[in-house]
Amino acid sequence: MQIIKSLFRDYFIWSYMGMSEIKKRYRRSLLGPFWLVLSNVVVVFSLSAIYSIILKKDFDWYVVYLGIGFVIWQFISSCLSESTEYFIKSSNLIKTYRISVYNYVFREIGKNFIFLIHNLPFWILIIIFYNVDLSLNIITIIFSYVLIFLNAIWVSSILALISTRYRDLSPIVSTLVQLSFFATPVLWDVGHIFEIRPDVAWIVYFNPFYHILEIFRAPIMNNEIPYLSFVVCLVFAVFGNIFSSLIFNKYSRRIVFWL
Amino acid sequence: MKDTYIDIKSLSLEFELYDSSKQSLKKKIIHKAVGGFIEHKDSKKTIVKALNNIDLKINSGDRVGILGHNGSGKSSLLQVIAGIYEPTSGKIDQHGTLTALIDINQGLDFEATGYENILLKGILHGYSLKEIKKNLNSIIEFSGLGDFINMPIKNYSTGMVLRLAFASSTFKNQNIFVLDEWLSVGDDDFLKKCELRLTELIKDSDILVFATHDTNLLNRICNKYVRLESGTIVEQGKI
Repeated sequence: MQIIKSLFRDYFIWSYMGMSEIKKRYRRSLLGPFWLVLSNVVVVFSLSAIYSIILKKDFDWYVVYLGIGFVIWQFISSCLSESTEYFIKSSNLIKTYRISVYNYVFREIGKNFIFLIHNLPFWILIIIFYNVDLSLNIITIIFSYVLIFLNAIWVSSILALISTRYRDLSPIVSTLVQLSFFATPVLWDVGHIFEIRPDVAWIVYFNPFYHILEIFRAPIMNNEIPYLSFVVCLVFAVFGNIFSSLIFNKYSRRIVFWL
Repeated sequence: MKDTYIDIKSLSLEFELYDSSKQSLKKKIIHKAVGGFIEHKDSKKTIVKALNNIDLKINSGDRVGILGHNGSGKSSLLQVIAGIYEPTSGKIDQHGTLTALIDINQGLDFEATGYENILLKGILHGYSLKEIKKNLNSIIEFSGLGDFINMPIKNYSTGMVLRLAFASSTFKNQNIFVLDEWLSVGDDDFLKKCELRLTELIKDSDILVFATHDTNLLNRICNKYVRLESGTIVEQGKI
């Protein structure tokens, strides 16, 4: 499959392009990568102070819950909302060089993925500071990283392709991403909804974003492996990538004509 | 290694021009939904024929200059040869490794240093990091930048940027080189250096395809020419 070939064979092209994007962003900032982490720390602590009161949660628990969910959500939302520009913003490169268009997708996902990993020290700090009990199940979050990466690839590449052809997709996507933030348990938690309205709470299981968040949150916070969520994410990753490969086989050579 | 060639048979390239209503997903969906009942008056397609029925055989040893006015299809032809556009109809067969210098400033990062840009430019052309690093000294030497190599290229002059970009794209022998007319913008010194390097590069390998307005330059570099007018070959011959 073209996508797997590009991922490995062109590894150097997209990773280098991604790294130079990251360097570009940090070139003039004193704290470099940690600027991003610092701003997350501020947001998470401020929101926790407010929402732990509104939702009547223990602050120590809530700050870890939000700290993990917020960082993951940031990755999801930037992959989705930036994806509509992937090809459009690289239009000059696409018209000049013969490299596979997948490189422009991998470059951006890779960049966001590295930003995501930046936040590991923050996670480790809150885990230590707030005395979260850990078990060996935490090892499974290595797979969670792989799965979130694979899912980001297929969703973003399809969105990037369609929005190059149809330019009015981009505002639709950003509205949907905003809406999803409130519809997904990032600020609130599922247990809370089950207490208030157990009859409708099951709807959350049909939200794929919930499962993505769960494969990170459950192993750290509840010491358990969320098998259902792992299966859902794996199935999405496999079939999604097959689906996007089929679309790209058919249309990837047309992209340059749409720019 | 004399089996490099480019063989173009009755090739056409068409662009569909998309106005804003054609780029709207919303309109497309509405059109699909009610398409049977309402005849849309804006449903006509606007198509531009950039290349029309081109037949061209380029053999090993040919240095082909492509002449023509703005919009005659020179760049489109180069982009098809470079594998960027897929022809709408017809066929293009080619054999041999290819480097296309379509727009030489593309892919440079002006905030990054000269050294970083050599790597970036090199990998975009499909060279491996190893190859680039092995040839680093000769690239730096050709570009004549010296200590400037560790400075961001936004501080460079236009000529320096051009030299750097050219050097990092052409350090290695390729069978086919495709050049768009940007070469005409350099100063005389630079041109001479480029010519020298190009002649050196295509000495034992093989094909150069070069688009230009400048007949003087064409006479110096090329041994064949093709004249395009509105996407069709109107004249070709030897120099």
